[in-house]
Amino acid sequence: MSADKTLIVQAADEVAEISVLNSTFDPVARGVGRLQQALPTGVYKVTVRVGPVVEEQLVSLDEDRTVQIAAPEIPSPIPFASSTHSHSSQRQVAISASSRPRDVFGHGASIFIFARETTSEDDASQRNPAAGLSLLDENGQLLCDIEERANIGSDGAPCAGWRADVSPGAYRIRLDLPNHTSFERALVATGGKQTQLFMFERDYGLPQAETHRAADLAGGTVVICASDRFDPSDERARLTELAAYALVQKRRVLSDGLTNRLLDGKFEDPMQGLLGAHIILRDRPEDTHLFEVVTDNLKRLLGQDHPDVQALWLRRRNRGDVTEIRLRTPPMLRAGWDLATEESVRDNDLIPSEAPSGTIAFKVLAAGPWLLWRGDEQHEAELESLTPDVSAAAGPLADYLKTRARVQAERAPAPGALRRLNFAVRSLPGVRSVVGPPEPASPTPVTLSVDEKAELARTLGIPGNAIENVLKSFSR
Amino acid sequence: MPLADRALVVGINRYQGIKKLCGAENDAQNFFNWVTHPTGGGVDPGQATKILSSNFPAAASVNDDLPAKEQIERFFTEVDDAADANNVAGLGPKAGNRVWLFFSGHGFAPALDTSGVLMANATLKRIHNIAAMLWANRLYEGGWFDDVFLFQDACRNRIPNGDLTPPFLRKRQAPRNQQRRRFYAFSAKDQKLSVELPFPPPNGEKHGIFTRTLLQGLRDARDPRTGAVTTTQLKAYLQANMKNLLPEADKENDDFAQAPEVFDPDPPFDIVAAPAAPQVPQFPVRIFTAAGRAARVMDGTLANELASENPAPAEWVLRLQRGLYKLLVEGADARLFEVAGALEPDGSPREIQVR
Repeated sequence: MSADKTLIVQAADEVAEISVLNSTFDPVARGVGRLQQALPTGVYKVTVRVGPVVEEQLVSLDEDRTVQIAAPEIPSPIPFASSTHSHSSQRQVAISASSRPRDVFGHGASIFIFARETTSEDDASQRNPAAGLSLLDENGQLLCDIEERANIGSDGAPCAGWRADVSPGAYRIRLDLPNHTSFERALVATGGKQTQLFMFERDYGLPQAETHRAADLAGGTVVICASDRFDPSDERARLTELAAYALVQKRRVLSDGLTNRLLDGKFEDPMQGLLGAHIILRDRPEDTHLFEVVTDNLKRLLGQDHPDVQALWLRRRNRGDVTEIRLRTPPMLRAGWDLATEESVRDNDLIPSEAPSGTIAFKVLAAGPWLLWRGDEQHEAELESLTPDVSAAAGPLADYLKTRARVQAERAPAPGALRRLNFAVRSLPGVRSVVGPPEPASPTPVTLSVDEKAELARTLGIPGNAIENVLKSFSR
Repeated sequence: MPLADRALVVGINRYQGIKKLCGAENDAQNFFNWVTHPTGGGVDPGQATKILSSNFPAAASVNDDLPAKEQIERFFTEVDDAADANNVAGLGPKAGNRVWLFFSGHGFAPALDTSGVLMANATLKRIHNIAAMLWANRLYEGGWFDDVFLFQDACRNRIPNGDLTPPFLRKRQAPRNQQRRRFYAFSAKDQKLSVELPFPPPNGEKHGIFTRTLLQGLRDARDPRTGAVTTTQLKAYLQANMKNLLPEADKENDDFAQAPEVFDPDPPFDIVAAPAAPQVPQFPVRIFTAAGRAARVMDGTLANELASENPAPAEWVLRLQRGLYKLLVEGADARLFEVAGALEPDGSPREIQVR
């Protein structure tokens, strides 16, 4: 048998996932960013995944070999040269629009919004990529119609850029669609920095199988930039893009290089630190020291009041001088919201119901990695039009409780219990209208364990106090 | 039947509130045929639940259209009942050895574990769905089965993301000594669109390219050493071959899913056992060489010569198993090539050309 040979795979991206398959497609080695492995002589397939992009290369390992993998183009809405469908005309618009505020609502920070098409098809050139976008304050009050104020670039693939100077704090970006559906997400402006949101255009389904093209709010990438303008030559935000992908798609990308960068606090974009902290929580939950160092760095860079920092602080074993956390505004990351809602099951006041964060309780959508919620008036009206008993229980939480009640009623072991459970089921709105009012009997409250409430909170994005209110209404 | 393997196969074409589909029911039927075949999944048909939208009459209102979540959730209730019965009988708190979950229809997948498959009563405002991966994880973590398989051919729309509901079965911890495994594959990820095409083109029956490739892989992605279809072989097959079914023009479109998302956190294991007389399929390879040169094909270990010709013809035709190979031609650079096992739309083996 021939002696093993050494295969070295060096990727340009430090979060590139490297895997090596042998000639019968069995995995024989894995690494992140760089891999060095002694392997028997043979033909191997080296697969390198950078975000959603996968590149493959066959290697004949009949001698020691080093394979260099260049950084592939990735589908990022940030118009770097290394982004797919990136156009120089769009870069120019982004540089120009990010450099000068179009509107001023405060001082100390700035927000830059950029939406771009990927193609220059004829019908695309007529559209405003910022259509439907607006900036709201933390309470949801309109500050600016971005669609009307954005600088439009129509040379080639259309794009739209808009910058506003603001006071540090929480804001919302809203997208309105023609069918009166709207979506919102948080944007937190940090003192001395520019918070940038880059979005592709995408198709949205409308009734009658029509589609409407607008900014992909759910998929937009946020960069927290130390300079006050966009720099297309600075591709350090590429790591932010890849880290966001890794967090959402459950990719294991915590390389030594990335870990060291997080420890040193030398993340050029604090968003890298936020994403890195969540990845550490997920992939190295036992490394509390690393997590505390990273969150200390984030507190220094973004401030303790930043909602994403607050959410991460909930998981610190040592909270230092932070004795009480109240998440008044929604964080930008869904992972942060999940931490908060899960903790809120044990601390009902963590997400105050009257605060801006509490008002989105029943509107959060499944999205990743950014926190996204429904903002349309139609949705509000649907909630308000229901009876008081169910207005707080609309949607999937009500569905879940009804299903639990139905399943338990079907399995009731004894007539007395069956009667109680039957009453509970028949008392539920929706059921009542079908099967008639319940018989007079003592109702059985719907109970959930703390773990079940925490799972509901995390999956549905509903704070603990809202779940408690719903359970109480079902028990009446 | 205690500890029986079970299957839930769902295919929804009819969506009054969204765009209708043509291939989802075909995919579900084909998977049902495979999973209940003795040489396929081996599930007793009596333990396999097939739910197609055509099983139900179209409702006057989309709000009443079926199947809704309740029809799907009935399966999970029955699984839990079976587990309770087995526990009472002293067989342990599990429903069976294997469960196969297959969903085909519209869906969304903003992240790996927040994907939903839309029900027939879904609209753009009320996105009724089943959180397939949450259910698969619940069955796995609680030890209702030893092996959990999930295949989801969805995301065939541009619908906004919806709300997910966690499984209603209470969380439980599997017995400590229970060996559990899982393998999931999804047709699309990260907001990509799944594609359904006619097979054979242009007017054949419509199928999702993911399910088409999946069923090919479940048949052909055999480990050449053992003849079994393993998780690693199926994963490699799916990732290498799904894109081959896309028309060339669609391969340039970033919106379309080119590769599936596979979740295989466990060490490799057999999905389909090796048949009694293993027959590992072979695929045609056409090698173009300069005339008059000696040529050899080495296997992936570089230790065995599989074929040689001196001189090799200008077009040298071989048949090889799935794998990686090295071509050595006198006076020329060596060439490496892969036989991935792709099939043409008509089901015939696709020829590999090595130039």
